[in-house]
Amino acid sequence: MTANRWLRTAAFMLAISALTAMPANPQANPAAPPHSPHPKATPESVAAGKEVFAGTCAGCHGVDGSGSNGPNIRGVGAQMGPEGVYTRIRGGPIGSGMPAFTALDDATVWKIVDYVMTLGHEDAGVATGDPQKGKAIYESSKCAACHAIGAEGGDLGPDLTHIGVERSIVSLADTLNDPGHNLPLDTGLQERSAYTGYVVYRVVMKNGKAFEGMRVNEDSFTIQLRDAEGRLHSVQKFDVEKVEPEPGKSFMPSYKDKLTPAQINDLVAYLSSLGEA
Amino acid sequence: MRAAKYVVMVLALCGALPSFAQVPYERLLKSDSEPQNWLMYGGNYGSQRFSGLKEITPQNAKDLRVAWAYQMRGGGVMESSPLIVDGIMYVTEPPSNVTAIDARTGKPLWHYVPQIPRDFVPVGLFPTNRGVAILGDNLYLATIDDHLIALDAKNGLVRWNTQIADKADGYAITQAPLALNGKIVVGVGGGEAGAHGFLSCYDANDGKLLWRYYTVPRSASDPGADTWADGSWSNGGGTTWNTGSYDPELNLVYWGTGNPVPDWNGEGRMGDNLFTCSMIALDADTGKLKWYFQFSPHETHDWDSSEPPILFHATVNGKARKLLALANRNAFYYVLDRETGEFLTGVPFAKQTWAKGLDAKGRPIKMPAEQIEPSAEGTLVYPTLTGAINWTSPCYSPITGLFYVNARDGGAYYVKGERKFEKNNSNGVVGGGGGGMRPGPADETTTSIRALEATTGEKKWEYKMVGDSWTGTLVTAGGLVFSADAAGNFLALNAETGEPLWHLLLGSAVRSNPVSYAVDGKQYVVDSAGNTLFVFSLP
Amino acid sequence: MTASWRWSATILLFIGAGAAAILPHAAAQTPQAPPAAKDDPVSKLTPDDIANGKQIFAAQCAGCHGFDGSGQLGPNLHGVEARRGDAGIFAVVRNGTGAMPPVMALNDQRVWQVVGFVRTLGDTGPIEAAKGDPVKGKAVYDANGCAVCHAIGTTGGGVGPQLTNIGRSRPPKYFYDFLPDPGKNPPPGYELVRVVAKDGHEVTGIRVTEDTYTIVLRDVGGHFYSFDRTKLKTIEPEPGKTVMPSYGNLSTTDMDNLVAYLSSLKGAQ
Repeated sequence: MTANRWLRTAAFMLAISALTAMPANPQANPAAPPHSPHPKATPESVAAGKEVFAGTCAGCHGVDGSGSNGPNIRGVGAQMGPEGVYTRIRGGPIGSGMPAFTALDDATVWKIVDYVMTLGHEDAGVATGDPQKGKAIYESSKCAACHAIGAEGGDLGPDLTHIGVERSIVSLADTLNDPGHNLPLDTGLQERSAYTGYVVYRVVMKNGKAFEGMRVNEDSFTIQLRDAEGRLHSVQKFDVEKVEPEPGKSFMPSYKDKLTPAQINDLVAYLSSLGEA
Repeated sequence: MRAAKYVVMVLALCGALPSFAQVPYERLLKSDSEPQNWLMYGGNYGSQRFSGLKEITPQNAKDLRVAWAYQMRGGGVMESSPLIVDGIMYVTEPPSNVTAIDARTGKPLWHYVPQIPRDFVPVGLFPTNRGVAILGDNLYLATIDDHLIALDAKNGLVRWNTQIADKADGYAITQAPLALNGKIVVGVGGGEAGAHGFLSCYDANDGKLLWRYYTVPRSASDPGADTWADGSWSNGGGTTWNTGSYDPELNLVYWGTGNPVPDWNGEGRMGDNLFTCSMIALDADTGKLKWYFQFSPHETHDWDSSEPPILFHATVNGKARKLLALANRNAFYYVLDRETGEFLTGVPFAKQTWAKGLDAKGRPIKMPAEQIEPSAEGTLVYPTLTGAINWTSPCYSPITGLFYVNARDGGAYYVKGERKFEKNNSNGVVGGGGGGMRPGPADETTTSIRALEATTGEKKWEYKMVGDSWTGTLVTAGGLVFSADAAGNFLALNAETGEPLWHLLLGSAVRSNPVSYAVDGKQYVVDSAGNTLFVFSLP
Repeated sequence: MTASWRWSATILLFIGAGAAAILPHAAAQTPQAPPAAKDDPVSKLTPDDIANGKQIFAAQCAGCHGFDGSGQLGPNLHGVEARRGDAGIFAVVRNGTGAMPPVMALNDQRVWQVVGFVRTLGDTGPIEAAKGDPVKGKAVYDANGCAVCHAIGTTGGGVGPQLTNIGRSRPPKYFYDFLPDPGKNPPPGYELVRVVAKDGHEVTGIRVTEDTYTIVLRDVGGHFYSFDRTKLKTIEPEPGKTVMPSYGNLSTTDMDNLVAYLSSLKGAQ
């Protein structure tokens, strides 16, 4: 009996080692095959990429990349970089419905990449304030309590590392003056439609107590919120009295009365300088 | 030695006896009498997606739990509607693979993987497959690269393989074929690539083409050519990319047709553009057109009328009638007489801003062009490009008399396509004119399960969900409606009242149609989420 | 008790075959491979390189080509060096060929090691050509009802393996060994199992799938039987047996012709 068990254990261990040495799953998503290097992006390549995008990609991603059948891809350029976008187009991400565009030649794919890299960039406009003064205002206003630039700062509000290429000066000023009516779009929440991020909800529990939080995720039965201290609340909608969005509200205070127009101008100039390629 | 001789004898017997066909046409005809099986894509020939099973009820639905799960071997999202025949489940996986599963335990039994060319990129649609048909001893599979393949249902061996269309012309097929008596009917997709739509019928024994009906004229003398200005019928469109329905008594096949080409720019093709965005009724033996009804004349928003038509009987104005109900992508719910195509009722079932209403013949009274036509900056119109409903199926219960549809409310900014239309897109570049949509106002798009009184379209109840769900509905004799929300909560509602009874978060969006079956008297409900098929039952 | 010994034996047999390929040989003779050209990277390979190549082959290639390279899902590689040359083998490993995916995880040095090992597979000499007449062999195939269980192309049954490409992956010697006694060495996936249920019901069939809780068998008619193991009294593999009868009583001429016919089945080229 003991010998039998030893034999079985030995067999089992050999089986495990043999299994781990089996040939790779032929259907696993391979990394992009070797490809030509990325030629420098030019206005011509972006325009050509836009042409191809309109024909090939817009059907799923929307004419401006903000989503349709497929997800919003505005801003993916900054997240993934040109190589990452190239690999996505060539490889088709596993588990998504996106096919691998193996039939396009490299030159065409790089043009699409060049165009995709520009998506999510609003035309910045020209800032008239003084970015140096703006940086000082950023610090004295303690923006870093909620916002991160690079590795420094908090995570309650959006990351501002690339905000200068993502938002125009007009929209930056609008947000500073009235954040509640200028909340950014959330790309992570639902893949096929546009949803606003940082929406403030008010929850009233069955015992009458209430709290506010920013929506992190939501479905038909539950909602997950982050309160002003950054704590996560997971709420079953049927277990509470009321769950209601509060349009026009934001955890970010308005700086309209806290800063002079000149100071807002300088702060916008500083923010506008963040994330230059 | 003796055992071997015995085995030889058994084998000889197997060879000598006529083999009984597993699913003769008679079983398909009477599929409602076998509620434990799901014998065709739409459940029955009327595409009612009604399960006659009663074990799961509003009282015990809260006890539903996962019986087993099956994960696809490859990547992608499962959109297949499985067949369950005598304890074996047949499911398809992207791009066009077939798997047989023991429906009692979830154990895979065999796989069939066709050779699809690696460089094939279908345009405007995901390379996926929505299911097979079964007839006799064979399964019938339509592949993404436009082949119709007959497989031995016992083991997946190929019995014949015929090419339906050339992918180089923009065709790609994702639908489940429909099996009739000795015949297989299948359509084509590719409306974003300028493909000319058609419906084909093949001999189930050998794959020979029996008839083919083209939905868009191919010459100036074809019917409908005068509804396309300047010979623009040559652009194509009118694809037949979703499975239709069949009336065995009238011997008519009903199929919806897709958009005219190019999608978002109608200037070069003035006219109604027949027979795009229509319901066509064809004689199942000859393929001749018996009647048609066009839902969206001169359509410019990509609102294909490719939704499955539901066939049912009801009394309308004191008269018993054979009816056809269709919840259209354009947000209107239509009821037609399916013998003649006569328009009976049409009312919106989701938010729409493009038509004042329908006239007495069912033709839309469109709002002024500047309010609804695609433009360079984008024109906000409801419903969205993906439609008030897309490819997923609604259902109908003969018990409640209600039509259950997972309806989308939402708008989009329609952008006009300015590119010169080019045919032939073997590079995967859309052969249409470009254009499309940008999403409408944020947070607006939601889907709700709506129960409509089937003959009038009057809303009886609705269950509003969060997000943009792409799941069909299933209704059971036990009194439940099954569907899912955008996050992947598979849920059950009371079919009479819409009261939510049970849900489970499956972890990925549910892009399929639920079905129900039974093995050894136990009822199961099936739905897939992401790359996993989940099967539920009571403990 | 008896059943579990048989299981251990079966598992060990399978693992042993694998282990023998993976673990370094103790007393193996040095493989004789054709001489390499002077500048060929292969000429710089050492016996250690070739042993490494054998190990990589066992891990990456044997799943399709068999541990001895004689073919299974993928073709027989014996003598492939003469057909494709060293650079040809390198290219196939690197780039794949259509049915074979490229092997991505190996660097150049390791691919050459595999090439070095694969070259030694030519060692057994050229594959003996089948000596019979394939046309007459087809008549033997038809007369013996092989198509009841086997499919070639789109005709035939699905009880046994498809034979559409069998000539690519099996040399004639294999058929001479197999046909008189199929039970001695059935291909993977055709093991015969006999179950006895607690209610006395018995089924013998090919085991399709099995896990801790369930087992599914397939009988000669292609029907599936699905069992919960808790409802079974015994589950016993039947080693040495298959559903396929023995063809040891064919005349020598018939056997030669049949083998020639099977060897000619290479599917669509």
